[in-house]
Amino acid sequence: MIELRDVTFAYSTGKAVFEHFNWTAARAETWAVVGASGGGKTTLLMMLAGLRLPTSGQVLIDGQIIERPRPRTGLVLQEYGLLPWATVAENAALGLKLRNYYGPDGRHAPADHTVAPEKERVDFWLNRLGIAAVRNRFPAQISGGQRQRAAIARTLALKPDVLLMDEPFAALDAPTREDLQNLTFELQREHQLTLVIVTHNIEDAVFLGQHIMVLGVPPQTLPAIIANPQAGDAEYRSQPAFFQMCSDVRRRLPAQTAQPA
Amino acid sequence: MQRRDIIITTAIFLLAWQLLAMIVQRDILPSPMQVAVAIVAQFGVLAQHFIASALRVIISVIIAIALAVPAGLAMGQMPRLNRIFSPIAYIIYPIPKIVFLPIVLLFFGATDFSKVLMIVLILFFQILVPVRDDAAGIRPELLNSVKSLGAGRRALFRFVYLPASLPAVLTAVRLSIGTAVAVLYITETTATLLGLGYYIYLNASTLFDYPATYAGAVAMGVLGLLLYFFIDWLERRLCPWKFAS
Repeated sequence: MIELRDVTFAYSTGKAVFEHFNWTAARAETWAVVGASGGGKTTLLMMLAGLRLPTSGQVLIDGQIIERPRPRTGLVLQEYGLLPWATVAENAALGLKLRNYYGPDGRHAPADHTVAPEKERVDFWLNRLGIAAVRNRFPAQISGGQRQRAAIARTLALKPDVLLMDEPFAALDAPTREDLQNLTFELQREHQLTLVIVTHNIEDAVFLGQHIMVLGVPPQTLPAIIANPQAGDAEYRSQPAFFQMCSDVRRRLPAQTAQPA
Repeated sequence: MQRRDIIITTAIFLLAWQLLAMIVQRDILPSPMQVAVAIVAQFGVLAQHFIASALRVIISVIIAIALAVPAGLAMGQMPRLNRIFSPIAYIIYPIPKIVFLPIVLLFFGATDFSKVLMIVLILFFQILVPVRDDAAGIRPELLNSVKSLGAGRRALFRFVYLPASLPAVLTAVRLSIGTAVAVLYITETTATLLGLGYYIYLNASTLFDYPATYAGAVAMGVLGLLLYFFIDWLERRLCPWKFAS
């Protein structure tokens, strides 16, 4: 489903973040990417999203080389992803509105996109994510958890097959965080999504990633991958195996260099 | 502002004016009542001048918005374009453009076009700069998330940049209304026979009809105030998210 072939990525400063990097992820797998700040987690996600292009090599999703955002890939960011001037319902409808705006051109919207009434599909997702009651509120008027649910609703309304999440639960309190983790996994199973979640939070990674990629000090050449087959099971969180896995991942992380606050 | 506050403030203003008129006791400061009588007596004429002035200022504001908003959004979105035009805007912005009025009149004559052009010239830069800064300040996270939904440049403009700049546009217009009306007055004191500026100037310096002069000034104040209220109303309609608690 996802393939990185000999990918090198360097910023304009010349510092390489990825060098001849190869990686594959199969359909409907869940991947968590952890690593120190500046290790290339977000860069990897941006390349998968088509928002950054590798300096050399190829990023392929479903056999297609990614050179721009792919209509069937959904992206959920930590914060600021919602339009502050639009209500929850309007935000959730944004992706569909954009598709209807362009029509089925194969670039901005899938070639088989049919201009559909937005309301029905948006209502379904607002209900599914439990935010129908706040549909007419603005992002500033709802909680962080509800905002993140709105961002997920907006993405899933587009029926993606790949879901990319960048620190999606970072700003949330612990109960909301667990709640959204469960929901994310449920939705991933329901819709057979290939999920890639980038996080600095080890518990997020261990709960959601059936495969955990640990990025060391850049440049990244060979990803360290840990199999974590119990991911997604709600019971897993309270089992010793979960804590063991967390400490395994923590051990593999490079020592964090002092970061300015 | 609440309606009650406006009524109280107006009452205090009128009272202060009345007291001042009673203390000064001169023709050049008529009381509010004398001015009210003048307004009623000359209502028809005053209305004609009021409409002429209102049309000029409204058309100017619309043209200034129509030119400055796309230019500001383009500069805010495209750093290369901004690098070329920002120094030009920076140099022209502080020049008091009203000093070019005689030249504009020489070029375009005593027409409505000259007056509108003068106001547009001044408002253009007052709107351009904040809109550009707002567009440049949009968080990359927001842009990335909308791009990931499939938005290209055209859709980003329509769904992100334009609505994001609306509050800046309305604030800039609100701040510019005072300037626009002041410039309007100056442009109307020369080379026209219609407009509140002409009406005030004629009554003050030729006919020496002071209550009528004040009536014109009140009309001009009302014009500015109505425009101000209109922008407030527009902001509540177009940017309800700013007022949501």
